Amino acid sequence: MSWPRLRALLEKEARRVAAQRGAVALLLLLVVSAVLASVLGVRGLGGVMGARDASLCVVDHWEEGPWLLHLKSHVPPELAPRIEFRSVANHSGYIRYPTGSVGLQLRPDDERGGYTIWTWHPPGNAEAAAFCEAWFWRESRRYFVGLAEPSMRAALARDLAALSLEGDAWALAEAHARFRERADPSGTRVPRLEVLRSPFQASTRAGPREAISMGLVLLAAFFIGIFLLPSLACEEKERGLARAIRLSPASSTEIALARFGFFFVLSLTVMVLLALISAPAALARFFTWVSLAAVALGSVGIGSVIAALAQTQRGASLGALIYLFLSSLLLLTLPGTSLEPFAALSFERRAPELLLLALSSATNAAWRELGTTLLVALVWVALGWLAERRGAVG
Amino acid sequence: MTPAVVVAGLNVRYGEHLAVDGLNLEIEPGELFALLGPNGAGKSSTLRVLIGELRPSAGRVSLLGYDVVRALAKIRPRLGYVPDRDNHFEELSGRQNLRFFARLHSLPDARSAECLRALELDDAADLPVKAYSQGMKKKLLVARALLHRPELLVLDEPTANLDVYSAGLVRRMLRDLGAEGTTVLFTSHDMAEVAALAGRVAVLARGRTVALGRPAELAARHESRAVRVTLASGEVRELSLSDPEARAELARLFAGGEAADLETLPRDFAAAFARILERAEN
Repeated sequence: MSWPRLRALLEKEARRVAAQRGAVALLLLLVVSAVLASVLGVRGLGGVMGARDASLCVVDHWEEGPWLLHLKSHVPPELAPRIEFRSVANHSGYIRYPTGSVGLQLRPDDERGGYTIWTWHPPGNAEAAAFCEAWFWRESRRYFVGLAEPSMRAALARDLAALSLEGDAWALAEAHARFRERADPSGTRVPRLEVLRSPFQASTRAGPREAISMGLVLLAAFFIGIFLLPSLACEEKERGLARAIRLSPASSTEIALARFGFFFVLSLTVMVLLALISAPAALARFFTWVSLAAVALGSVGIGSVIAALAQTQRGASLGALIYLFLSSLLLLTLPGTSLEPFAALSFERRAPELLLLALSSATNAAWRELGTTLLVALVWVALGWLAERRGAVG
Repeated sequence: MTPAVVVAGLNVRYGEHLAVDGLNLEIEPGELFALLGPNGAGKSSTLRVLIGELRPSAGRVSLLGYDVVRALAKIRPRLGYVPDRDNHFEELSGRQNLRFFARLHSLPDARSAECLRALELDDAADLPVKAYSQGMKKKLLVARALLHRPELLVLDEPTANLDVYSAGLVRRMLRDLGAEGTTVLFTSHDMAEVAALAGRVAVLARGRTVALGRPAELAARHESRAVRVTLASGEVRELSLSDPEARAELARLFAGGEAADLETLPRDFAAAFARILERAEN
């Protein structure tokens, strides 16, 4: 490994990128967009995007039973598209919720009996789950009234109308406890209910501003890693320049390392610049820097695989397009199937989520998310390296 | 002394098609050697194997004492290559192109300036290569191949697209390199150039060597003498001595006192090359 040779190869990459007017113009456009979004604000987008309003309530349950059947059969038509039941009895690991949803978990309490009703909502936005909780408590109360002594039912039913969700969760729990005392003094038919509310872990306060920041940064990473790198590398192959360089004393390791290193640094620099403009507070966190590096690494890794497989510049562009199309197709079709875990490993699914976490300053660092994304990125880097070696030898 | 190039039983196969069929060559250090043949004869495939771009299907090739498959890394710093098509960084200037390759060879920038001057490209050195003519691009390729003073220079049609003056410049340069001990292996379709430059030539047809030797020897072997007769009337005729009718005509002209002057023509290598290929086809 020779530093002067590496430096010459790095300079070559820099000069070539600088000569690509279209690429430079696009990167400048991204910077201008970030400045505009930052200076002018994104107030007008709030109503359109509604990222903080939950559109879906996922009711997770561990067991079937008459209570659940009652809930399932008493979803009002206007809420039917917004309430989804999901059995998680055989689920292990993290329970994930789609973006823009809230979670309502009916967890059986094996130790103390009864259930824990655990509501999951976006951080700082507990009211996002209000529509779901209102329905849930009303229908649960209605179901339990049906279980009470016949003589009590009329009086208990009157309380249904008074049930309000304005109060906090403890009030709901308290109301249920009092109800239980009256309806089922022996405590055998109406179960004890504990009420918990938590913000999602590894979740974002993804307002329009964060979404725009994430979009700009992601576009920069994908453009530089998945489009620009393969395009320039394959142009060298097509014009015989790669052969000329390989005939020099530069080893294939030096050539690959210089290309990879240059595009990684370029990608990270542009991503940091865009983040600095659109979400400066986020850069105060170490987590954000490592997340940006992981996304840059992954996109350059994917680009290296395309660059090694394609032989012409047109092939590289088509390869990038096909890759992004296939990724989108899989992400759209795999959820809900037995192959869903594969979608979770997709870089295209992990990168936007991680960037959203990284650029939302109010969110706690999700190191596990970052670790998994970094692992996926490293797999792509390894694949790119292997493909490059194979291409150099073949 | 170890031969600069040894090709033994080389086969290059593209699927079912055998492009090079058992080629054998041995080129001594300092030799100017030309590889000739019609399109599709196997010249380019042979060169691609020599520069390590293509693996031989069978046979062995060694350059400067090293096997091209196993020890290409040892050969590369001592090998210069001029491809048939230009392959420059078009958006960079000629000087930037040469500096990049000079740095890969750990050479100072002054060496690239020296090579630009030698190829008379110094006036256009700072223009982007995309503004160069085809001939200038070809000269830049030659300059790039000479940067690291290679011991073995492989050139694929080095004077194609060059004007007469520039072609002469490159030929002089190759002759000087040969005189200094550099082994030069080149292909060309210009038979006059080959006859003037090459110490030895190999003629390939359908992947096989059909003739090997010095250009003059091949011409003597495959092309008969011809004479130019100037008649008393001022008319000039060229007659081949291998043709019985032409010989009879020559005798008649002299016997009748019609011939005023006789000049023996040099043997034509281009005609010899054509005859070699014709015989190979038959």
